[in-house]
Amino acid sequence: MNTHSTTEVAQSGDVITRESAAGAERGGGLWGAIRFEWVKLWSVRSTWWCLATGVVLMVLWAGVVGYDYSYEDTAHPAPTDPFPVGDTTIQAAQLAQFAIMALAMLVITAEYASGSIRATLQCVPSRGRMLASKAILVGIVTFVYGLILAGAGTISGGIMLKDLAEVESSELFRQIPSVAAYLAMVGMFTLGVGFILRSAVGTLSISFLLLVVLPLIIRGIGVDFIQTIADFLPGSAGTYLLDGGGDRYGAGVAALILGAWTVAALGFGYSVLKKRDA
Amino acid sequence: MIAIRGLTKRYADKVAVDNISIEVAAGKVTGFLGPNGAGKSTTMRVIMGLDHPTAGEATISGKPYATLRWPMREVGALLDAKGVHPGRSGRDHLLSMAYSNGIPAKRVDQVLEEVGLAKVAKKRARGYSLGMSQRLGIAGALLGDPQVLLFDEPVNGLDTEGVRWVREMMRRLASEGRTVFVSSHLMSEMQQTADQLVIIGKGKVIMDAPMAEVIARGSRNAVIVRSPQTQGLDKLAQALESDAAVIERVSPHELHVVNGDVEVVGQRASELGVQLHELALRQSSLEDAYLELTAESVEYISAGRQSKA
Repeated sequence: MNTHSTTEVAQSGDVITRESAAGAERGGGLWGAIRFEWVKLWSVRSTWWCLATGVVLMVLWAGVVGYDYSYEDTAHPAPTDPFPVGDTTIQAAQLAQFAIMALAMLVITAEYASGSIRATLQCVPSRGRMLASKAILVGIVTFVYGLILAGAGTISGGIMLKDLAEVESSELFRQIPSVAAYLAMVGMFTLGVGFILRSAVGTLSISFLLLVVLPLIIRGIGVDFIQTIADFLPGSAGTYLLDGGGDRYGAGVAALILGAWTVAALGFGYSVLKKRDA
Repeated sequence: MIAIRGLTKRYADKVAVDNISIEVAAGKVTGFLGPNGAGKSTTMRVIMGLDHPTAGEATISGKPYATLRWPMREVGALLDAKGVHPGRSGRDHLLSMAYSNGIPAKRVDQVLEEVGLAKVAKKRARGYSLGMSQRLGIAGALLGDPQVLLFDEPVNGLDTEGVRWVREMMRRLASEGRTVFVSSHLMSEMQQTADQLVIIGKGKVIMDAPMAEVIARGSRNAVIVRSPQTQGLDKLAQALESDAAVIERVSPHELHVVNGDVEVVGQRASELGVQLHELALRQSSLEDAYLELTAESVEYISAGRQSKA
């Protein structure tokens, strides 16, 4: 290849620049790493499958919630109280989060499964930068996607509620960003677990356990201190965040607890990434 | 230049690399040889900052790989051709890599053209043959136009044309002053490609020398002499033995001068008036030399060879 020039070109003063067929030394760094992850994310079909699944789950479930409330037959007279449309989305988000978990999990576990993690670390050998670029990408993508999902769920729920829909903009302005923030944290948390465990099955099981199963099981146990522990699980905090607070603490504290779990998962993931061989 | 100092890599129950120190110089193709499990891939992974050494270090132009600002502009490596997400196209794979190091997209098309994948670049990697995957891996290594290149078994799965193409590419890269470090188990291929050889076995360096020196170590170097004159050959053998040469009399009409010199043998035969039907230099191949050197450190020896060894 004739462009393969490796001549050393002396420029003004002491600056020596190597003319490279790969262009000048610029870019790269964290921004380069994020662009790297961006291209990788959108160039595989699984991403699109996850996003589509999330939309289907959200629209269907929010619709079902709305229909279930407004449904009328002889045994079940139609209620007369209006139903806040945003609540359909809040409930459906608990189902749609599985699509987010799958998406976030694949960002890291697919690389370990295919061996392309080595290519990734060749391109971005700084472990901190590599993890940060994935976390930022997943955080931003799932937040924006969460906004879209919440919007779609609200519309679907509203349609099925028909004239029973209660549309209060101040409430929606809280609920829709809450859904997006919750889903973004679920995404980053799952990503962190993926960095720790590296396998898809393990990652999904542990995330599912902490976000869904444990809070549900423990809620059924009457013992007080176990309840207190349950309150600090990411799943419980997530429910409080989505509901705008609960009897134990408010939405702000819920966001902090969920955030702490996310930071802990990513931090632990970082230490594993740093210590273990790729 | 790649420098490895006192490198040791121990896994739970096994020492993969045992205190090796090598320097891989620029402007040459350095072949990295050794039996399966000798520690070649481990060494390459440590150089690339993928595995952490138990002791020692590996640096590239004086710096550990993980500290390089634009690593792909300094080092290109093909470690595992199949290490590509099967659902991603070759072009997207390279494009994402290019972005990570601030390399312009037009360079991606350039290397795709160079490795001969331009036509299938938009196909998913799942459908690539091993040979195509090797070419994609090589494209990735070339992407940053780096001064240091590592190839782990680059000709696996390539057809004859591909093998020759890789050989010529490596020769060209070295002639441009780059450092080329390539592992292989194909001895005849290495013999045609490498200038310098590093041979390891059981995690230790057995030999680090120029190709000619390694081949000279082989015990099968000999001058073959055939003649119809049995008595003439007897005289020639006596004369050469008095010059302190080692003679193997294979048959009444053939003798071998171990580590002999064709000119000297020819001269003597002419002086003695012996009629020759053949005067030829038989050189040890790299394979012969390699097998002798590694005979003791072969990890998984086959039954047939074990009886001979």
